[in-house]
Amino acid sequence: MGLEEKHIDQIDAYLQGQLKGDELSSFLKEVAENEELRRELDIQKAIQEGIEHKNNQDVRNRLNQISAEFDSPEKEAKVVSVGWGRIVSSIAAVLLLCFAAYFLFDRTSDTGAIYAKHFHPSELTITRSTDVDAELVILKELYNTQNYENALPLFEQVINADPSASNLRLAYGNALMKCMKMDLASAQFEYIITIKDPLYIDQARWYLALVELNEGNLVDCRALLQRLGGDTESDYHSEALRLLDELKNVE
Amino acid sequence: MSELDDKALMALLRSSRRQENDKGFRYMYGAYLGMIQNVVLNNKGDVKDAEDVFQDALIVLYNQSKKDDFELRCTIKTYLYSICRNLWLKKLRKSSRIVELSDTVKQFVTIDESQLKTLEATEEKKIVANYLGQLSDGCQTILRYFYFDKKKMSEIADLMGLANEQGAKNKKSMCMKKLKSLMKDSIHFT
Repeated sequence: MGLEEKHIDQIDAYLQGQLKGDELSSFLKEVAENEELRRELDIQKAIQEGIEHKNNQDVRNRLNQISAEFDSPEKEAKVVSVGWGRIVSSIAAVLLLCFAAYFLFDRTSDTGAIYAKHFHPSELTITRSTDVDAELVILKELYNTQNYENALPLFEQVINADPSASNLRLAYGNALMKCMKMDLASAQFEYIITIKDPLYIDQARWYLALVELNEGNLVDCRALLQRLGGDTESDYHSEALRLLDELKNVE
Repeated sequence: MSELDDKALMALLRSSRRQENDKGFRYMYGAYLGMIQNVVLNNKGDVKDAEDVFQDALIVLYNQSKKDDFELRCTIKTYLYSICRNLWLKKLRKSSRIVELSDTVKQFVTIDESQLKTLEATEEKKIVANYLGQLSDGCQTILRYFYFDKKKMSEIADLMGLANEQGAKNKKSMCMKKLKSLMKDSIHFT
C-alpha cells in the first residue's frame, strides 16, 4: 500500500525544514509509530544526502577550476627549490596539465562553436504605445545596428521605467550576451520566465539555455532544451531538439 | 575584483545559479586562501593541504548557506578560518598525535560538528550520487532544486517552465520513482 498524499507532503515539508512546533512534533510522533512512513523518510533522507554529496563533487570540480585561475606564489616557490627528482615529476605534471588543458580547451571550443552557431539575437520589436518615446527610437537604432555596448545604459533606463516590458528585456538580455555579460543576461531571461509572459517565455527559455551552454552548465542547458523540445507548439521545438542532438556527445 | 561584504557574499552562495555561487567562491579564493595557507604551512602542512581544507570549508559554508535555519554568528573570514583550523587539527591528530595548533589568526569560533558531516563520503551517499547521475538532466535538476536548494514547488515550476506547482510535484514524483527503482537493486536500500 502506498503512502497517502498527506504523508508525502509532510515528508517534503519536513526535509525542507518547514515543519515547526506542534506540526513537527506530531509528524515525528507519527514517524515513530508508522513503519512505512519511517522507511520512506529514511529513503528520502538518503536521497537528500546523496544529492548533497553529488553536489559537493560538482562544487569541488568548480573550485578546482577557480583555483587554476589563481597564481599561488607558494606553489611556484616550491617548484624552484627542488632537486632532479622533483623536476622530473614537475615536468610530468606540466605534461599532464597540458594534456588536461588540451581536452578542456577542446570541450570549451566545442561548446563555444555550438553556442556561436545557435546564438542569433532577436529582433527588437517596439509596441505601438511606446513607439513615440524618443529614447526607444534611439535604442532600437543602436540595437538593430549591433551597437550593443552603447545600447546597454539606455536599456537599463527604459527597463527601470517599465520592468514588465518583456520585449525590451529580451533584447537587453541579447545585448548583454553579445557583450559577454552572461550573469546579467540570465537575470533578464529568468525575469521573463518568472512572470510567465506568454509572448516571450519560450524565447527567454531558449536564450537562457544558450547562456547556460556558454557557461558550461550543460545540465541546466539540457533541462531547458528538453522543455522546449517537448513542446510541439513551441517555435523553438525543432531548434531545441537539434541543439540537444548536437550536445549528445559533449560532456 | 570589487569588495564584497558578508551579506552580499551569502546572497551569492544562496543563489540557485551556479554563476552567482562561483562569483562568491572566486571572491573568497582571492580574499581568504592566503590566510589558510599561513596557518596550514605554519603547522606542518603544505600548499596542497591548505587548498584541500580551504575547499572543504567553502563546501561546508555553501551547504550551510542553503539551510533556512543557518545563522552566521561571526564574519565569513572567522567562520572559514575556524572550519579549516578544526579540519587541519583533526588531520594532525590522526597522523602525528599533535594536539595543539599554532594559530595565525586570533579570532576563531567553535564549529558545530554536525556542520562538517556533509564532508563525509559514506558508501551510501556515493551509491545514491551514482544513481542520480543515471537520471535525465531534468530529473537531476528538479531533485537538486528541491532537496538541495530547498526551492518551493511553485518556484521550481517557474524555473523549469512547468505549467504549475502540481506539474512540478508530478515531475518530482516521477523522478523519485525512477531513482527509487534504481536504488531497489542496491543492498543498501532493500
